[in-house]
Amino acid sequence: MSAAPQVTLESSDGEKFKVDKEVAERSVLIKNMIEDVGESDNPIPLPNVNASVLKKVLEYCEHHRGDPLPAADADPSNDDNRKRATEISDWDQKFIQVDQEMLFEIILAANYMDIKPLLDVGCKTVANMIKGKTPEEIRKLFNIVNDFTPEEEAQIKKENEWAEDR
Amino acid sequence: MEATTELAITSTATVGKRRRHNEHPLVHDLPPEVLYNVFKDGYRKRDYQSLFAIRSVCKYWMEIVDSCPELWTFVSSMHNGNLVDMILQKSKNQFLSFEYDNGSRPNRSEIPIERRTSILTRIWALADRLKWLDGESCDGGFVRFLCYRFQNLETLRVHNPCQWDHLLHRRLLRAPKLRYVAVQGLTLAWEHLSGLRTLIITQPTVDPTVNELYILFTNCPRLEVLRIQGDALDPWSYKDDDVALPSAPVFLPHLQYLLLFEVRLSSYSRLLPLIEAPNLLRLFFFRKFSPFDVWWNTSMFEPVERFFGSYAHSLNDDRDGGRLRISGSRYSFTISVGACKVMQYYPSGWKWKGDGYDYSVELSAALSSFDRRLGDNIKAIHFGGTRSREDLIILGPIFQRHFPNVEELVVTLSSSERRPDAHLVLEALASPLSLEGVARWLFPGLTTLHLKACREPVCDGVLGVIEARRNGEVQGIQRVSIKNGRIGRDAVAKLKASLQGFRIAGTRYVDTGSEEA
Repeated sequence: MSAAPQVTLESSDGEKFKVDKEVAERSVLIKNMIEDVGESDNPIPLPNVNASVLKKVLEYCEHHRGDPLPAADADPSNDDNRKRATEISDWDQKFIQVDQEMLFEIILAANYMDIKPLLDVGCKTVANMIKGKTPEEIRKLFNIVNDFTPEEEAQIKKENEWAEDR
Repeated sequence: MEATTELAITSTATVGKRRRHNEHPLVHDLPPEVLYNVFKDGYRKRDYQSLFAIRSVCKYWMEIVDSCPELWTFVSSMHNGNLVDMILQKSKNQFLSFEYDNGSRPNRSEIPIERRTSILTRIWALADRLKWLDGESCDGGFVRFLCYRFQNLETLRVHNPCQWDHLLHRRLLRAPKLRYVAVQGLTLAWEHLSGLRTLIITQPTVDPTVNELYILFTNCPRLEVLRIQGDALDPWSYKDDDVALPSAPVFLPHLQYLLLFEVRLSSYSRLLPLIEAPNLLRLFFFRKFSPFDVWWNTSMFEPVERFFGSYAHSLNDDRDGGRLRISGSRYSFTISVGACKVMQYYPSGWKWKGDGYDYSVELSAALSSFDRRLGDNIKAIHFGGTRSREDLIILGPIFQRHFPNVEELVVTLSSSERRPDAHLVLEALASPLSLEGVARWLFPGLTTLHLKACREPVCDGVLGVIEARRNGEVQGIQRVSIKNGRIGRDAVAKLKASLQGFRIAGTRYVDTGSEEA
């Protein structure tokens, strides 16, 4: 039995990761690159992703290697697609239990490498962090400065009252 | 090497974007399109208060929220007029969801009629942008609004207009893209609907005549779900019973759920034989009976029975499909069809003898309505409300006659003043009975027995049944489960030793009276 074809990925800090092509191709960016330029022994550089993040991303890709890939033209208004997009499996929940810095790095890497299911997991996780919180609680959570002027604050207060008037 | 250069160019662009945000909080490293995805899941749908909480965090977040029309697509008659202005402005050309509620439901403030009229007028002008329309607690103004043409409407839900005019006057909907319709209290020109995937009709809506339904079926070849909750007080009085129906079968390859509650039996009995639905997962038929009716519903059984066991598809779990259920005997009857391996029977326990009615005759008549294919297919019987030795002795042989291949029996010992112990109820299984003049064992293929008891009955009788059947010329019971009730430790030990499978839950040991097994 012949070994599965492999590719080498190189992180921004120069670390190389040899992985099965099937795993690497969970990334649409890498899949397209391989299709466009053909297979090569040269490592594929990922200058936007450092080694610790790439390792984490590859862990995700390895776990989901056999999953069906999301259709490019999937209709998000379709109930099934929406349900799939908003559910986080137990494994994914554990996988994404990381500190904020790593969480945002994973999301950025998923966005850059075009790994939609991982991007969805990341976005949903951040969404769950803000759901039900007041603006002040959200600012505190993410260390965001309130940069509204008093006039803008007054306008926001008025608009918020419109939303409360039911 | 070319590949490396190309990738490096792509990457530089992204790196540049990130560097610009380096001085911001970590979350601001996320590009706007990613933050939009976060916000989309981060607020409670249709609740602008939670969306406003997000846009009130900082200018950057407000800019993103305000520039995403997809977040501003829900309009309600309950909304403040200024908010409606804001929503319509920010939604740009997005399709809209509109909820009309006049506020007359409990815990709501009634919306002044001027405000309702005003919002309907504004939404009317945007009728082409409506994709989803929900009339909850609606009124005449909303129903008149339905006369417009909705070029892109896909979903319509209407509840409780509560005016006779809406029931008697059939509304013609002009919505060529309509896919999902759920109406209660509003009657539509059913035969003019086309392309539907789901149709749910709930009384007091006047349900379609079978002719209208036939036309609707031919207009909606991709129909997946049809659910009709009728209000048939008199199942025989229906205006189109004598009208000729086309004889050509109607092919519905996508139909998965055909759910009929309280419909006119005779009319639907004529329609069912015309339906070819090879992927049907569930046909559900439910009807209540008047205590004074004779057993007249056989007209429905005959067309229904062709669905029994006919299809390879069925739900994985018999809790939802593949079940024939007779409950309360004279008072209600439920058929749920899939692979149909399970029969459920719930006699109206306390009526069993008290009202002088012979339930065994009725049960026998009901089961006679089904053909042999169904009878052979049934592998399990759930026997509910069992409270005396007569239950199995009298009704058991009737089941035996119609369902000769039963392998599994679930017996529920009902709580009642008599609180029978298991040995009394199961007596019929422990020795041959006289069946049609010949001594035979009840359910000779029985291998699994589940006993569900209330707190009191003593379940040791199971042991006697197992030993008796093992010594008789009959298939031995191999698996037993007991839930609740009481049992002796010795009996448990013997059952464990002699069975392939034995489970016990919530059962107290008789000798201690308190310890749960």
